[in-house]
Amino acid sequence: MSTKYILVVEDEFLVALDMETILADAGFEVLGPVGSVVEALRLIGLHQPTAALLDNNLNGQSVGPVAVALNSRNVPFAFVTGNDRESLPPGFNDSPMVRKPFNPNGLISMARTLLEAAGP
Amino acid sequence: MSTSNGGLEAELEETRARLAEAEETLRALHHGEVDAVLVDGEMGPQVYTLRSAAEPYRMLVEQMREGALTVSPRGTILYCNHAFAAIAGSVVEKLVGSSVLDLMSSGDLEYLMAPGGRAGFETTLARPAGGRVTVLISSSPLSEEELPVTCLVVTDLTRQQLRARYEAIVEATIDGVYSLNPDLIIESWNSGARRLYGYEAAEIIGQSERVLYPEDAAHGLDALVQQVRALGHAVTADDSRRRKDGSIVQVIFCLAPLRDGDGRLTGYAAVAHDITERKSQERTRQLLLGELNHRVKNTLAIVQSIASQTLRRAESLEEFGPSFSGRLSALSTAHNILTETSWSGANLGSLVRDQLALGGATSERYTCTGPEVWLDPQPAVRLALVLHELGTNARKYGALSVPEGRVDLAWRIEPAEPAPIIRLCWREVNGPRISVPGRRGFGSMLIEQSLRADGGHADMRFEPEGLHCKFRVPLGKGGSRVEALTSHDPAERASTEKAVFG
Amino acid sequence: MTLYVAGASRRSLRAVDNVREFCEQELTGNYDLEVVDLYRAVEQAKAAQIIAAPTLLRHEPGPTRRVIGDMSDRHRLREAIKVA
Repeated sequence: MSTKYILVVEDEFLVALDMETILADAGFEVLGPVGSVVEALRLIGLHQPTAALLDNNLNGQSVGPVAVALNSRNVPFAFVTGNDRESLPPGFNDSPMVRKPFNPNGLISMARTLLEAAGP
Repeated sequence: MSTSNGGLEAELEETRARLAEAEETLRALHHGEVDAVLVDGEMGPQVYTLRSAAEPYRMLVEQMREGALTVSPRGTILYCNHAFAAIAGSVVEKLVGSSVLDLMSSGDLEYLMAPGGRAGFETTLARPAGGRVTVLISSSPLSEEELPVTCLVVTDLTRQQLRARYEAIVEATIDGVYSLNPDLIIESWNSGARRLYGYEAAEIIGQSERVLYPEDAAHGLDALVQQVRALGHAVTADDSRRRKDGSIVQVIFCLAPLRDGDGRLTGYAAVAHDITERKSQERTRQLLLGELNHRVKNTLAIVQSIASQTLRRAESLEEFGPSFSGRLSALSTAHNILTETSWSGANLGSLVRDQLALGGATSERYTCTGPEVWLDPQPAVRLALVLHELGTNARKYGALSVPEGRVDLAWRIEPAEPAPIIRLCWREVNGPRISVPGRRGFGSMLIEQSLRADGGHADMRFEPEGLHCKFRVPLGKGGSRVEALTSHDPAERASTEKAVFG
Repeated sequence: MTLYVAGASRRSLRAVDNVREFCEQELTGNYDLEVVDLYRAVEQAKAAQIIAAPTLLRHEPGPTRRVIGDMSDRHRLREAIKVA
């Protein structure tokens, strides 16, 4: 059985560190964190993650291309954002969402839900 | 910055209160509970009126030489224009919110508040500063959803040129103001109407108001007229109109009945206010709101992260307090610089000096050399936090912990593709000998890693003379999204909108 | 206190009326209210860090507190204006 990785895409170092710490402490394996679309796509190509948490806004860039790439590989993901659903990339308005600033338990339970959705 | 627990408590309380206010602001903006937003643009502060605030009269009423005021059923003055303030010998700011019964008798007010309003009521008003003034007052009840108000128009009878003033007013207003006879034939036409609709007075006078409606919408006019006749007072509606050249314009349209002394309908007054521009401003408002929201929420997430990371690595709770509040101060200081520039960016020199001063370093303890550089907001915040950590460490263990030590900071700009790079060097001199710390603290991690998000790099070396750090920070495209969104260049706005929403 | 409103919109009128009523009923004359039109005093509003109108600022006793909206929520007004 291969290891399950959660890809974390977040450009703000401190928030990424926080997410990594929270997830690692809860027993998850974290891929990344990476802070740009380019880096995220590269990681997705190298090690297919089992699930992903995406910051909606990467230093002004939309995380849309990453969402599309994950979708085409059937990798479940959730957006992490301070804004509303309307601000999510077009076509992904109904995706799971975690609000910033996030509750650590909320983040963990979303991670669990995503991994379950990914299947065995 | 107090380091005692009591001081920290008070500051946290204050920060909580301010964050709560920020949340409250966002909530109110989000739920459309506000009329206008004040935005600092590159041309200075500007007010954006939101669609939810319908105010067709404002320009006209403000420029009128007649006094106008709106009162609540209890007589509270809810609004008044400058002309009325002049008649009353007072100022708008003091009159609004006060009671009109300070100026007129309750018998007069009762008379004016009769249903259907009154025309041409002559009486005297008592000025707050003393003396009386003879006036002519007309009243119109206006139904404002849950709040019934009465609008009063007050003419100072000591001045006699009524007709000339009226005509000057109507000409001066930028809104379309014109009059109709009882059969809706246009009888007068001001230059505002000409600008709005494109018809010259000579070609439109004698034609029906229907001409201004797009084909499918003329029934709206009938419904409006019905409402005006039934209610007996002015009615406002949001509508489309068709210009002479066939193009459609969005207006707020107000139709008011005109009556003679016996109360018979002699025609209508019409005011049309162009809101086409406002619709595009609404879209900008949404984007600005999103941007603001993103920043505030991101800041909160950063604060949360700093708190939890500091807490994890603090040796004791006593150590947590100063560390956390120190970092929070660094963040806050960086934000202050950014707020001053409306989040368009920060000057590197100012950032460096502020963060060092925050750590208590006086100017003789450090040297600072480099060209004028402008950083984007996010890299500015990150660099501020890095500088803060470096300063704190220097003070605790490094060059700034001994009197003879100092810090030399220097930076230069290197040309590169796609954007130039800043090379920043932090060198501690004459400090105590330090060994490389075994355990990587949060601070070190912050210094080494946080610039990576912008494609930057940090190199920390503990040399015998002291800590020597070299940073590489790529410069961004300059400016922030908010500036681009409120830019006067439509191409820039459009490309920013596309970048934000894809 | 200063109440910043946006001209004479419905909401502005409501805000003035609500604040006035609140002051009469719960502050019994112990207040000083100034109403400022955002359209006419943009620089002043910016200096006071006003973001949107209507906004009510309570200056004294410090620190400054603010309430945003049409001021119909008495609870919020009390929280911001009343001193313990």
